[in-house]
Amino acid sequence: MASVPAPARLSLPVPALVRSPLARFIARRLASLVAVLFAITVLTFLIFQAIPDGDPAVRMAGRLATPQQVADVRKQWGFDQPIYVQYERTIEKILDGSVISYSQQIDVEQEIVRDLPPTISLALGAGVLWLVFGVLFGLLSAVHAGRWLDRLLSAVALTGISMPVFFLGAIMLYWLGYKWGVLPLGGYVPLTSDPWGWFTHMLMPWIALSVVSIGVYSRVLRANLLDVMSEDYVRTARAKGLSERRVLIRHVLRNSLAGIVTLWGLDFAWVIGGGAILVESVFDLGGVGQYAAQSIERLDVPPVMVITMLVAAAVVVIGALVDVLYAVLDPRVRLS
Amino acid sequence: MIDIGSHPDGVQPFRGPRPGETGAGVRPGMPIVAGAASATALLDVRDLSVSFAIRDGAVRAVDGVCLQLQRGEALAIVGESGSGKSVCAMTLMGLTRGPTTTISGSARLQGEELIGMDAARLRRIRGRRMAMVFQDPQSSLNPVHRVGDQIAEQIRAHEPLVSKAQALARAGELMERVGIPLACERVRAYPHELSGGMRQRVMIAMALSLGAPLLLADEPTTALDVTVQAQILAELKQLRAEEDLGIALITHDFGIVADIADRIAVMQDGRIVEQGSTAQIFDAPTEPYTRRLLDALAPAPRRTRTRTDGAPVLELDGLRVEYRMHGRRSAPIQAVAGVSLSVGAGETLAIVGESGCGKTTLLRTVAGLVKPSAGTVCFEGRLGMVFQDPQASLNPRRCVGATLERALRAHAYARHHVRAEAIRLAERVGLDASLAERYPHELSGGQRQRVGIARALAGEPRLVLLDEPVSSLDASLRRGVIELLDELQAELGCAYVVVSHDLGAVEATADRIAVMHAGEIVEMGSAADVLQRPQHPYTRELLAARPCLPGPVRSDAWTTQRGSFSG
Repeated sequence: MASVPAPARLSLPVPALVRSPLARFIARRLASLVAVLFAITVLTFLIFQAIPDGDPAVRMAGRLATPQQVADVRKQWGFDQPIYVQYERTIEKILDGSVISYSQQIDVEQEIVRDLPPTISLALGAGVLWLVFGVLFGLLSAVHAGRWLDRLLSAVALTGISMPVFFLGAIMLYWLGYKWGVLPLGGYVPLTSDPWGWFTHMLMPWIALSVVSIGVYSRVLRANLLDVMSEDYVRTARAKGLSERRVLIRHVLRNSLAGIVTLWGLDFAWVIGGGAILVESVFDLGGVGQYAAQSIERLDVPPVMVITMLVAAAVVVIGALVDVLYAVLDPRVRLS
Repeated sequence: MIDIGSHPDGVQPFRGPRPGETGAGVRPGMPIVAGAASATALLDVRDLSVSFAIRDGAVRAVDGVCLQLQRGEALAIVGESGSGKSVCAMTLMGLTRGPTTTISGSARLQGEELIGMDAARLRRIRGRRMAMVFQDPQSSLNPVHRVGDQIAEQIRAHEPLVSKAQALARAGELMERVGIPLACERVRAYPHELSGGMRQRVMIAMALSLGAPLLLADEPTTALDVTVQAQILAELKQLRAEEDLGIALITHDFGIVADIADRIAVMQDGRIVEQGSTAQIFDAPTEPYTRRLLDALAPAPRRTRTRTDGAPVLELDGLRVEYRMHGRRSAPIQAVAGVSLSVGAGETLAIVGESGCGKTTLLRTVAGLVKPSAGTVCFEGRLGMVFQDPQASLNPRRCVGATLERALRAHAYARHHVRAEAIRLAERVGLDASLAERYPHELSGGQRQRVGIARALAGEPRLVLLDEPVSSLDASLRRGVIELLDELQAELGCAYVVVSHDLGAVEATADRIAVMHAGEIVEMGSAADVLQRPQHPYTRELLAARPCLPGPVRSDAWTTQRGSFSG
């Protein structure tokens, strides 16, 4: 699973009133959120300016439009203004919730709010699945390091990592959906209207999305666990007369979790922001990722801008939560 | 006290591990020594052998070791690293068990056989009837759990009926008993919030928590500052008397055992080569190996040399280094608080102080690795640096030749010269040219530090900075490295700045000594002046804590040459 680059750290002067470390931490993260959003929206906007054939007026006026009609559209939508004015107007509209897409000319934010439930369902379910099984397989691998179970799990993990999502998705749809008919063939059912339908519709997407991550997480955790197992304090724990199980959970696993938590936060934010485009498309969930893919195809700037901001915000917020959790997991780390 | 001889059969030839020998107890035909008395022995080890399978064959780390220990008695097991003394202790704790380990012989704790004991039973004995204190308290405590919880965890693992609150209360009492100030509050501290000495006291408190009669202490003071070492040893000595503890003290340093041990066993290559009362071993060692270890303790003869009072190669003026621990607005911590000094060509200046006094930061600032907050550093010519731990400071994936070639290339040596030049460098520090293809892990500690020195000399520096150059080496190897440094200085005329926590380690080589405390130089002068007429109380404290050989030892009571320390 691709990881999203960590948000840039920006130090701004913090008012003296803000005294508690947690409040200062939150203030600093909010400042960095604003900076990240600004940078990423400017970048996205400029990229669309640079794309050949990207002139939205020509696309919106239609294939048979006269030059006069194109000019009218350009004037009406403000595409004749300087870039920074266009940028400013777009951001203004995004902030007051009135941004309209170029292609279908519908309200972008309503569209995204409609697409969020399937995406969040996908992220939560798959996130739990890959965390639980990643930790379980990593633990089993490390405990049996070098023996047959470890080798078997390595082989499974590597197969999972190298399995393309669209391939695995297609196989599952064919067998489970079409041949045997045990699970529905794609689409999304809201949790509120039909919980069981929601579950059966989401099951295949969850599995398809988490298989790669389970492979990655179990390998990362296995390496961390083996490192920690050779630490002196694990030897101390054994010398104290603790049971192997307690040594493993309280002294080995507990000290290996920090890396996994960081990875999980970034991956989760990535799915929330529509990163699971392939899975959403294969199973036709109609999520944020699918909407992003369609908008990029149509060179439709406003939805892409909003979705990009959503990803950035998710990464910064979840990144902050991960840092808090990190400080809880490792008392040597201070929030700063 | 029982008189324990060395192995009844003498030194034995290597025997392959025999099937079924594990846990077999005393072999038939093996003479039983002092049968009646050994039944009550706290620890009775007979013919213990441990070997580890490696790729081609097996390494016998412990070979036919026989030991006995009574309650209230302290036995020191002394040997160089690799002599098998730690493996011996870890085997008693069952910590060396594994698919590649073969253990034979017998080890009885209060009459109960430990070798081959089933894992569940062994787990119940660990921590309750025998406890172990390890070398490095920093890495031996789990950094993410509070120290009180770590002690309480051990209590509750053996006494499941004790509530968590009760166990924590007991942890607090134990920490108070081993002399941790403000113990009730420190129960909730994490290991990184305590000093090295306090961390080791926590380890000792943990070992005492269930009243284990046997304490195995594996180099308990090696990772600590000299003054703290003395305190920890005093603590162990006191506990031995109060708790009637049997202590097995494992160390490479004869200097620290005179105070505390009743008997000494000297180990070499997995065997006990000599065993006897402390007085016997110190006064009349019979084995050449023991003599060699004892000789290494005596200070090296001071060299005589012709001083060249050339222009200074290094001048520091009002050097300050400040850190801020908690962001830019917090109060700065002064690691180096206004240091001015100069070093002449061909001179050796030793900077001595405890860990945390800023001496390493000072050295790193001179090397340009740390930016000073104020003040100036001026030096002439090139500069080389030798680090404390050669294992950690050499790239493990680069062979010796490549390491040296790279250092030479950094000093703009032509590519076609470096190979020959690297060999020349290696030979100059006493390494055979054939070692050039070896990787750091294939070298001994002494050889690794020689590589580190050769690397520092690559640019023909006029100034070499040495950060604790011998403190990670066994006592017996230190002499050789110190002599090498002297030879090189005479040959190349470079100046040395040596940083050390141990006055004893630098007294043979330093022309001048600077004593550093809390970021400042509290005393600086010629070596003779500082050592013989120390002015500052802190210098006197350091001098008092120096490990010393006891003079002619009386067998009734040990004359303590250390200063006494409390709490």
